[in-house]
Amino acid sequence: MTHPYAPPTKARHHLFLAAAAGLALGLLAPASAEDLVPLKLELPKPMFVGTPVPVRLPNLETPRVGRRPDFMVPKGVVNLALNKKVTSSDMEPVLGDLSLITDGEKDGDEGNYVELGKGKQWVQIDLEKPAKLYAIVVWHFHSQARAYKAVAVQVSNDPNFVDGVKTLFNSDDQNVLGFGVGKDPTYIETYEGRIIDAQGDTARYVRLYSDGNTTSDMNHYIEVEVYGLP
Amino acid sequence: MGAALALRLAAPETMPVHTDEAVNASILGDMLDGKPYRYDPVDRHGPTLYFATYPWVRACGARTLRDLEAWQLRAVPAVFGAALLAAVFLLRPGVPAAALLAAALWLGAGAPFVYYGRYWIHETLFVLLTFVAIGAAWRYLRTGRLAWTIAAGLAVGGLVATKETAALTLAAALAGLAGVRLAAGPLDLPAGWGRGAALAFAAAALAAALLFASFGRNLSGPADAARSLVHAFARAAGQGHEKPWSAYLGWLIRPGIRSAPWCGWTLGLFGAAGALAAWRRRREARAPFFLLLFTLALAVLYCAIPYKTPWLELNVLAPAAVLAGLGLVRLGGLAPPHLRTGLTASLALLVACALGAETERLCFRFPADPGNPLAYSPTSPDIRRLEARVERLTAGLGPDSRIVAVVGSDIWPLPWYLRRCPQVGYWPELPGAPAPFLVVSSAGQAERVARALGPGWTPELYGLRSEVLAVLFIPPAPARLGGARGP
Repeated sequence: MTHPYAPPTKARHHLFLAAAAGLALGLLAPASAEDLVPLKLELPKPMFVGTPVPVRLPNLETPRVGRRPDFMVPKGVVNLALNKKVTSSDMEPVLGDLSLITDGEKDGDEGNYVELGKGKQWVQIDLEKPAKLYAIVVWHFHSQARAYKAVAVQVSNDPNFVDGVKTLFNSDDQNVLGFGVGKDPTYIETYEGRIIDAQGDTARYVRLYSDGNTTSDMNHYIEVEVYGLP
Repeated sequence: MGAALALRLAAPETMPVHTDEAVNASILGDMLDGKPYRYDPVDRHGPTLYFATYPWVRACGARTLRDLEAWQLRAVPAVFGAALLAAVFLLRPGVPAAALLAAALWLGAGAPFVYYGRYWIHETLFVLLTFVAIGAAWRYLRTGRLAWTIAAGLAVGGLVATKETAALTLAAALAGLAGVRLAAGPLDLPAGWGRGAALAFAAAALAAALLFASFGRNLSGPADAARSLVHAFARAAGQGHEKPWSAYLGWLIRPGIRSAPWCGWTLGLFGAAGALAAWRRRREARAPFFLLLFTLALAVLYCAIPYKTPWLELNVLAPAAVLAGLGLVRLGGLAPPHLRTGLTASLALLVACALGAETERLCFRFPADPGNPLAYSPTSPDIRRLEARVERLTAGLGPDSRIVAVVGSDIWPLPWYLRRCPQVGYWPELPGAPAPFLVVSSAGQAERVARALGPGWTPELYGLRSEVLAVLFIPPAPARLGGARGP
């Protein structure tokens, strides 16, 4: 048995350091939590009621019942994409124009979305300067239950997306985009849009890919919001 | 006619095969397998389309469903659609040849006519038979020749054996005749018209009976056809296709995201001019007046019935196109004599350009788009990815290999797209034995199927039709499928 006032052994020393670190973290943690706030999104009106496809499968996202859980972001994040320039693999969209993607209008009505041509297409938003990004929210099309194919979201400081590219989301389960087989779930579009965790990465450009959808070969975007610290 | 045929035959695979085409192909596949055609009075239309297609696909070398190609099937309504342009000329000289030529603009190049002329369903054949019947009857009334009344009777028999909506067409024709009698005076019936009518009736009854009886191989067919009227009344109530009375009007004249509705607008404009001309000259020119009344009666009937699908509008649009042709010629005739030909030709050119623009977009560029008013519950192009995926995964499997199970009720038109898949089977629930290699499930069944399959199966989502999804389950050991995994 060790005497209570015995000099600290190596094990006890480690225990002490761990306790001290825990105390320090404990003191710091509440401060971090205070800085995180739920991401507030202005949602458009729902265009279809209920979930017509109640699929609960491993790599297909289960339609949620009830309110979406809060997505926590640091206090002070804003939509950096609002009214920023958008370029695309299809610079002459079939319907609408690329500026609709960052105009802040998320209603699913006709005239509010841009339609890109068939097959693999991407859109790219230039935030004008690098920023710490926390969430990217995308509304492809929500007036009808459909899922977009091979959805991938990447960020980079290289406008050509050659160097320093980070993939934040990839549901391309057949690797048609060539970024590797995606592990993220395919999901059915709703008026709530899709929140993608940007993980606090610093980037100037955001690029979103898709390869048609379950209803047509076309690609659509109503709005993309990029939340970060200005 | 050549141009109309070319429009209908061009790029036949542009549009994915529709559910109705797949169901029809399944019936034709049974016939190719040697099973006699049996008329189903509850859920199917008549046999004429299958009998018209069967010899053609046999000549193309098809011996089973898996041998069929979409272009082979779609060539049949394409020919019927082009033949409609010739059939309307039976109305000459009751309707001036110039007006019939002008009508050919809409019948040949109008988006609804081209779209459904590229679509292996019954409607184009039905409209063709309607005009053959009306044209032959008109010729009999003019000449008194019994051959025409027999031809009219045979066409009516074919009409009855094509779709249950023959009852509406016949009712509208009777209403048209009654209207002509009331508003334009007694009909000029040929001598011995009673015998002629009896011959027409006999020819119609014989043709319909032979067709429903599959030329003697299904003797209960005619009785089933009689019973079908009961089901037709139930179907007319909607059966999931209920629409407001104005639905056809909306489809025809509401501007859409894919095209301005030039066919509907020009038919409305020139059809009104033609209708006015037909009314004003109802005593001297009875054929146009009959067509006007026939068109109005059909429009009222189809609008009144809750069951509405866009291809049914062809029944009204076809006679309306003849009136529009008359209207175009009449409007051109308003010009001073030395300008008439030029004005008429200019109007025709304008109409042709407008119709061509709409047809190019709706029939070729966006044929299966949800924003296309002619695309009714279109098959999603995504189904081709599912077809290709299953083909890759089953490549190298022999006919005795394990099966691809399709589970669920809402899985059409998958039987068409999987027709070449070895050992494909269809079940309401996942079969316990034999154990499937691949499973395609309707979305509604997918959760239950996933539980039954157990862990390790990878689901992939595909679209069958607008808002109708299917899930492909890929087994945990893809090497067993010949290493076919991957794009």
